[in-house]
Amino acid sequence: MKLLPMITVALLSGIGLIASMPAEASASALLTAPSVKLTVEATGQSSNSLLLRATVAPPVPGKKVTFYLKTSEFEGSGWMALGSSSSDSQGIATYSYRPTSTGIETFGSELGSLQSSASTPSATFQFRVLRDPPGFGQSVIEYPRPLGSVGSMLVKGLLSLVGLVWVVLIGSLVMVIRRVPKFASGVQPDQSEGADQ
Amino acid sequence: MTTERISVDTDQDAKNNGVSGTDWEDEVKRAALVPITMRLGLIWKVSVALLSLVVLSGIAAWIYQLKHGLGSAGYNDQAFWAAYIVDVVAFIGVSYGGAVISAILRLTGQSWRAPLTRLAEGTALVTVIIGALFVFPHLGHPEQFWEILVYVNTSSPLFWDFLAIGTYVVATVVFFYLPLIPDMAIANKSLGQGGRPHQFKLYKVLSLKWMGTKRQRSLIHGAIGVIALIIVPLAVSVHSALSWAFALTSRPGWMETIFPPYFVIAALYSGTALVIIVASAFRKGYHLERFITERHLQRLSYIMVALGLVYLYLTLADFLSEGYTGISTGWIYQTVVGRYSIPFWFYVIAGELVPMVLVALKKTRNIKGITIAAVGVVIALWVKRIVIVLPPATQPLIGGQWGTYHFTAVSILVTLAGVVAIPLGLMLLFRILPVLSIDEMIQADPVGSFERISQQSLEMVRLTAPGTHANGKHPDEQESEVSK
Repeated sequence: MKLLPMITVALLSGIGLIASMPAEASASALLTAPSVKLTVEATGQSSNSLLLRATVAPPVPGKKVTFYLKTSEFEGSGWMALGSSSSDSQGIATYSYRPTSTGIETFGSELGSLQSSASTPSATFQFRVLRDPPGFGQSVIEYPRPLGSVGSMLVKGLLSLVGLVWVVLIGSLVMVIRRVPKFASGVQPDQSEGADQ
Repeated sequence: MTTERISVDTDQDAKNNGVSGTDWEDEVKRAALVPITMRLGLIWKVSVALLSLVVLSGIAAWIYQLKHGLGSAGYNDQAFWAAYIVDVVAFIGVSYGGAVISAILRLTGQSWRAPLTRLAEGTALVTVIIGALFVFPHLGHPEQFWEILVYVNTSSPLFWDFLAIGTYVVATVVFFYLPLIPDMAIANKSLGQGGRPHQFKLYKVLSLKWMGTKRQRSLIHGAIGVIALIIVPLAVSVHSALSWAFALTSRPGWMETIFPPYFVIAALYSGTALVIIVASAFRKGYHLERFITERHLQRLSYIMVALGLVYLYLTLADFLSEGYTGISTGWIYQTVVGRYSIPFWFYVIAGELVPMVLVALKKTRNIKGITIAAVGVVIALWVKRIVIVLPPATQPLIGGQWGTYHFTAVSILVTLAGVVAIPLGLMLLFRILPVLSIDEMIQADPVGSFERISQQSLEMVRLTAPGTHANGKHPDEQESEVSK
């Protein structure tokens, strides 16, 4: 029958695969599938960037790890590839990323790369970006705003001006309403008219 | 100009003409209060009914729009701003003109203003309310309007628009009320209860026990002066803030530094024209020919034409600044020779050339000619706002497909409702309040011109039979001769 030739081909292929790999690596690869664990840390308050750190376990140097950001900026929501780096001798791959907005960001990492944006990376991590570090951000997505540094003072000044106008308007009206009746019994009525009193 | 020659020794002229102060006061009071006391004629009733019908149609159209969305008013993805923002800018603009004209004439002590101030300030009040109300049809979800206060965004010009317009509305109300106080006392005394207890009570409350004492006069003149001083920069800020709603967007044709003065001058120009129309209409309809003379309208027309020239200059400067760089000239091409060329050239002809010619030629520099010029300016400036809004809004920023906007029955009815609400509001307002500023006309500085003109007109009317005048001439013609 045809079963015997098929088993023969399979065995020969397996022997060929093992033979082509170093003994330790092949053993690891066969015994434990490499996995990736992702952590994210801020590199400092004054920094503009977050450091995405993916740890390949067991440690395998030279493994390509791709980093992703979950986004709803485009149609539907999906994972946007940020970039990739290779693991070092301790199995650590890092990627520096500058967030473009505040709020909770979800990052992902995958050995190799995802087959499609609809797939989910094998490791994910959420990180809250509390505030834009000084000097960060606006220049990435839009032009720097003139008067940006004095904006709050300008707003307060303008609001004070509006308040002052309201005080003068209402104050004038209230003054007239309160004082005109008081001045009705003045010394010298003017030439023309009087009220019904 | 003949101002100097006609502003001499009016008291002496009045005495020579045999017109006593009491006659003058009585005539002013009678003319100002007749619209309040007269029995309503058929024409008045039918006019109010028809105008109300149009306003109600507009409200119904807006309700329809609330149900079916802004698309029913012709709005779409590209024409995201269209008819209603044009109405907001145009109506608040004409209000601005009325208030500023009155304020400037007050501040500069122009006594000839007296017969016009009540009409100008009333027009400002009515139009600013209508203009502010147009914000609601402009909003797709007007029920969310309150969020502008709850979720304050000081980076948005719309927030400052809200503050500026709100402040301006309050200032207009105060500016209208303060000069009204002495007239309320006069109306209270002259009319008595007269079978109208509610009106009597209203006048009594609003008059604040006015007796015309020196201290009262000093107080009220000071307060009016302060408000007049505030309302000019306030009105400038309102239209600047309105222009920033356009100029702070990244859109060629709107993103220009010239926009604030461009909007301010347009507002003054159209506002002066509307004051002329209102003064002319009330002069005719309420028989105020003795008080609002041809000279008044001529002086206003000179102001109007001067503003028109400035506005024409700014229009050309607007084209030049962007056209010269050549970075984005599509909207200029579409405005001058493209799809928006007809409304643009309508503005040039009806809003600039024709008014200038009508005012420049002595033959047409009469009430009829000036009123036609003013009507042309008001309509053309509304059309010009369309030309300012639509070409930059509908131009493609990506790709080459221009957007389109077509007026629909909804947007036409809502706009028309705003237009007719002006005469309706003024007719109702001056059914309750004096149409002339009685106290100002009596108290005005005699070294002006209007008293002499008006007293001579009055004298001629008194000396002649109804329908004819001294020397067979109309008072305006007499006045023109006096002024020469």
